[in-house]
Amino acid sequence: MRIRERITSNPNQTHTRKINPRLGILGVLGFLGFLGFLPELIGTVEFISIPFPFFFFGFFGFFGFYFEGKMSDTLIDERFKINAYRAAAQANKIGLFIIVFVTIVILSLVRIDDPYRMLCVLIATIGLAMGIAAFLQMYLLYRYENEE
Amino acid sequence: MGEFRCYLKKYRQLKELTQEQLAEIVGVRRETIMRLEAGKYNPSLKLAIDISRVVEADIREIFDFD
Repeated sequence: MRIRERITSNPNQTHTRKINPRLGILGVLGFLGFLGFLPELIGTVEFISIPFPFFFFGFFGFFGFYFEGKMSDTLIDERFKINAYRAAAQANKIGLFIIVFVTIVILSLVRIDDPYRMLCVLIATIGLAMGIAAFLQMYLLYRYENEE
Repeated sequence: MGEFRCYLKKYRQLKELTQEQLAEIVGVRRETIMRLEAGKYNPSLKLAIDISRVVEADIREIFDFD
């Protein structure tokens, strides 16, 4: 989604932005998502029932900076645009599939009575799907650009 | 889509242009020209017309769709 928006919203941009591939290390922030399990582990769910840390799973998408960095300052020609659209479509399809699979298949098979746990599952799923989709956009674009 | 053959290399060499030079003129990357010549990339109509103008050859002679 990011690349697609950047291309269409800024037609004057001729080259991709310059990014250091080392920024990909920011992807480890995604592990902060496991903080969401903390209230349950230390037994404070009754007092601190805040599921938002699960959303940090979305930060796994920052791993995509590694591949974006490798494609820094690349001329955005028609082949790059087509590959960006292809990568975005594929990545969003996978992200959507994860959300649909978990919400429809898993939640219909496993009964979760506790609304807090249900919220945790949904936030973690959406965060993770977002992170995976963001990462895959860059990874797939890099792969399409370099495939033989 | 049927088989796609590209004879760009022949016409480019006739005009004594390198891949880099042709790429710069038509506003694409050298890799795009490289893949085009290898028949691994199907260009847009605009790019095909731009290339045919630069190498001064008929578009149907450069690109052959069976």
